[in-house]
Amino acid sequence: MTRFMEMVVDWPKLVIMLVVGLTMVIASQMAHLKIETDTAAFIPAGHQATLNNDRMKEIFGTPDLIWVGVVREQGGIYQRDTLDIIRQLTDHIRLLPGVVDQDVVSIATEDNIRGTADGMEVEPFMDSLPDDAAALQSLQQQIHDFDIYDGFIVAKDGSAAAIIVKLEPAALLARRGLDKFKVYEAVKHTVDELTAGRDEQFYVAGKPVLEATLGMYIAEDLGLMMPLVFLTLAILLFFTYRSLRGVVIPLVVVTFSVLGAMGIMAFAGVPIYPTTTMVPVTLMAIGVADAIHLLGKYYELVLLKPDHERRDLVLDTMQEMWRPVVLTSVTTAIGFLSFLSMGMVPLQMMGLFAAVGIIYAMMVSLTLVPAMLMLMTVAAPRMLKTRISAGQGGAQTIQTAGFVSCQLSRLGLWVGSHVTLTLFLTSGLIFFSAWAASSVYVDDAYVANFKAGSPIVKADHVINSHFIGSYQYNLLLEGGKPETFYRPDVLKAVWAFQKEMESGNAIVGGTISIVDYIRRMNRVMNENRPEMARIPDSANLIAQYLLLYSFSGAPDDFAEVVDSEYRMANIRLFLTRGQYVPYHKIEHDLNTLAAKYFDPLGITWSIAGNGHISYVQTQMITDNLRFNIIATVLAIFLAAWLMMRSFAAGVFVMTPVLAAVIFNFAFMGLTDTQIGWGASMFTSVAICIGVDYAIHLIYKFRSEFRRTGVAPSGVAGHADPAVQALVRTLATTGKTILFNAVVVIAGFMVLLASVMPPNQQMGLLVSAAMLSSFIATLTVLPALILAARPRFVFGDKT
Amino acid sequence: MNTQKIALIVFALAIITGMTSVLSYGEALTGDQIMQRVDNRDDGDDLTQKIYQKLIDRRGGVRERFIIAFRKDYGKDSKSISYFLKPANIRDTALLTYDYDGTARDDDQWLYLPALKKVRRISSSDRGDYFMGTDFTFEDIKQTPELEDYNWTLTGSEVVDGHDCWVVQGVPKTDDLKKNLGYSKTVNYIRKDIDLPIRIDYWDRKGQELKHFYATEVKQIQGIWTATKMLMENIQTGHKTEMEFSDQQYNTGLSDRKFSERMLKRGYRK
Repeated sequence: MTRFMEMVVDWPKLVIMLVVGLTMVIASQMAHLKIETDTAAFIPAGHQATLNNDRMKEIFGTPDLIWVGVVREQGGIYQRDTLDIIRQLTDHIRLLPGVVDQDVVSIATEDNIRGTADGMEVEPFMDSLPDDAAALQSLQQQIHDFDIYDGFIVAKDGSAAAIIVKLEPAALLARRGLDKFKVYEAVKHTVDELTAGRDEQFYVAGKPVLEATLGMYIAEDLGLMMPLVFLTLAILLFFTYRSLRGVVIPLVVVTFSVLGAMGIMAFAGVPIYPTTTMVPVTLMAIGVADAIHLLGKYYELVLLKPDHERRDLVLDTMQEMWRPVVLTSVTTAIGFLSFLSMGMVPLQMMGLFAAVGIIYAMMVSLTLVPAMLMLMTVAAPRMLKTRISAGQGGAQTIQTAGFVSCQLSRLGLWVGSHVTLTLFLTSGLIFFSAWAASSVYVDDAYVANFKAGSPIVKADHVINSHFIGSYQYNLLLEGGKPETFYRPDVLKAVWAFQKEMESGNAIVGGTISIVDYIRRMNRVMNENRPEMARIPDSANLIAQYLLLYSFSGAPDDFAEVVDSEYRMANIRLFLTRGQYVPYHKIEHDLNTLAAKYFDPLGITWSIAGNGHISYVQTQMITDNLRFNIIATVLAIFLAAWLMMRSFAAGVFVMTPVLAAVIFNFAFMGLTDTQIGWGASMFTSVAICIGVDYAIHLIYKFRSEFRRTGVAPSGVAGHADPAVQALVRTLATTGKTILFNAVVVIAGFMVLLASVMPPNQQMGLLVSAAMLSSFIATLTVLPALILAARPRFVFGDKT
Repeated sequence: MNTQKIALIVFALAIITGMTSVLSYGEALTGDQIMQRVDNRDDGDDLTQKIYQKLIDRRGGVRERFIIAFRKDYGKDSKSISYFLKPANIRDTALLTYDYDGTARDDDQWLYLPALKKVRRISSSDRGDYFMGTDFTFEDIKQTPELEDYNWTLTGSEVVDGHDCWVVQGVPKTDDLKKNLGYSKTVNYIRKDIDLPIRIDYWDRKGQELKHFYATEVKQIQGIWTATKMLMENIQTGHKTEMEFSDQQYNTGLSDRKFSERMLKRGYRK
């Protein structure tokens, strides 16, 4: 390693060219990056929920619906001009590419099926715009009487109408060069254009809208916010070091590691998932550390050995630092690689590429940083120099150089003198944290990812409070034989299931199955008597009704609820909320009621739909979190154990990390942050940051102890050489850790200004992770070392 | 006036007539004329036939129906009655249709449902509505489209399945018609020898290709050229419909009484 460092130091320009060149080549791949926002991507391909959902899509088509809501508070939508704009909107939206023309549903497209004395009339609700009060009244009555449409295309109270837009399957969209997001944009654009200056309010919502926009907006927002974070880091670094080099070196390391990781990701053909948007963020938080520690050491040496040559200073710095740099990087990388044990590709990729970035940062730190230092003149921050020239040289320099070092020296002295008390205090803090952490629970809601009060959240709320719901669950039913779903007993079970799901769950706004159509037909064919809206007792009659219906319907009119052989059926449940916690009961009810109604009939059933996918996804991520915390900690423990060749070292590295995790959870509890996919990842990020701190501290302490331990000098008012070592460690490495924490925390606090709650949360949680790790490393770890006096630090002498 | 003068005048007229026809050479048939020929094609005054419908969904799921159908022309109008023979659960269901020429008057339709033992009138369908769950719309299932609703353009000739065909493009005249019919364009391949369309391509309102129609078997029955097998394929949904016609009997002099509500209820008897 010494040889390698000498080479780097002797050929600085070549090294810089090589590293910059390599990084540029890798980074050029980033143009190929694609974004993947589909929720289903989180769930492994072979998972039952994915299989069910794919099967549903294959048989019954994609259930993705965009809802356009037209709200008129004053007097409701049954007014001629409002109906007119609904009709215009419908006509325009139907013609948009990517929209299934025949499957756009609104009061302007649907037919009323009415019974008359001699038969049945099927005609549009709105053949022409109603032009007097009586016609408007009659239209309202017709919709109200048709229970499939009441609450579906018009709100039950008549204050709003919906245009429900079905998208073509993803594969077909892709062939047309479209995706959900583009179709949503087109719909939104059409709505905006046609409705400017009108009295009504217009909203666009639906699961595909949320799904399509979330990833986009997060990435877009990050693109805006990250330069701000970067700038803040730069400013803080400048005020910390008061030199260009102090700014440039850490930022170059971070930038290169981000470019390296994302470039390699693009090269490997891995798309950007919502999780991997966190990779640059994580690398910024962690990558700064290597450079700051190198710089800290360099400045320390510059101050201690003012007469040394530039080459010697750089070499000495690297000589002393390459071990902790490699050790921290490898351990952190291994920690992130433990993500691979989770069964979800987006999480695996987050861990994998965070690890890649960290190793890349390590590589850059060990090559580019010394090379750059070689090309710069020897200098330390003027502030420190001034103090030295003021006569405070010698061994005491470090402890007293600067206010921060002074305070940290005092902290070290205090901890050194009050080991037991420190341990008691931190134990107290941990007990308190455990209490605070106990209120953390799993929850995740799609809309919660958007800013409260933003148009998308508002639209979601309006649509879901006026209509049957924009979130969907599906129950797939499968009878063994064709025409199973002509059987009255089977249809009655389906109907009973629907009724019980609706009455038992307030968030189930409505359900639709083939039964709704059959009931309607039976009523219409029996003089439109309301009591005849029931399932006939004859399978033949049902078959004949459906034939009758086919005279005005398209061949695939019922394709969403029953397959063409009537062997399989799909019960569509519309939900007004897309949130994890309320779905516990939905899932439970679906399972018990399906078993109750369909098992006795020998009909197999399975649960699908985007609601179920979200539920399973959240459940998997959070189930994995428990396992992941353990795996990450264990991986780090093993890595530290093996690399430092000491079991105790593993334990000592792990302990502050555990404390940091507990503090982090406590922070989440106190800020009422629930565990969703974002929050769950930052626990692991906290672990990995904590490891860095702990390793740097232990290394520095060991080297300080070995130095002062040999020649106790009684500095800093304490006789114990271990305490002296601690004081010196905190004054130097402690300061670096503090700088690192402060800089990164302040930088990430900028994210609180973001409009996207996930990014705000990320800013908060990264900061919390830094703070937790900082506190744990500077208090718990020294106290533990002093109390236990492990051999890997103190050698054989005690 | 002497005979010679008369002869001269007749001669002059003959020359003029002759030159007129000489000078009007070469304008081949127009799209309109071709479609008119298709419309004028002899399809008998009445017809009895068996129809086998096979509906095939995207995944290969199949539904089959057997129907026996009677049709009788009344000038440009016609009446027809169809009895469903299979599947069992719709056996004896029967459909009576009075089909009026032009679009001024809606067609009348009645359906008899044996399970309900009642005749039900079916409100007239839009021309773009699909017919009995097949891939044919009511417009497609008719012998020829309403000619005056389209602008017909002859775009050339092509050989399809070994037959020389005219290629006639039809574009509905107005946006309203496009919406009603569900088409923005059709391209018809019409056999020059028998004036029968053997392939039709349809484009939807957005200008995306929608369906392909093929007359897969054409036979001469009692001197009348008849498509005996047809396929309509929706290339967007993957759904398709095959129809086979057999046991055709043209011009048997079906009685008017056959096309009544009473016969609808009585069901089909051999």
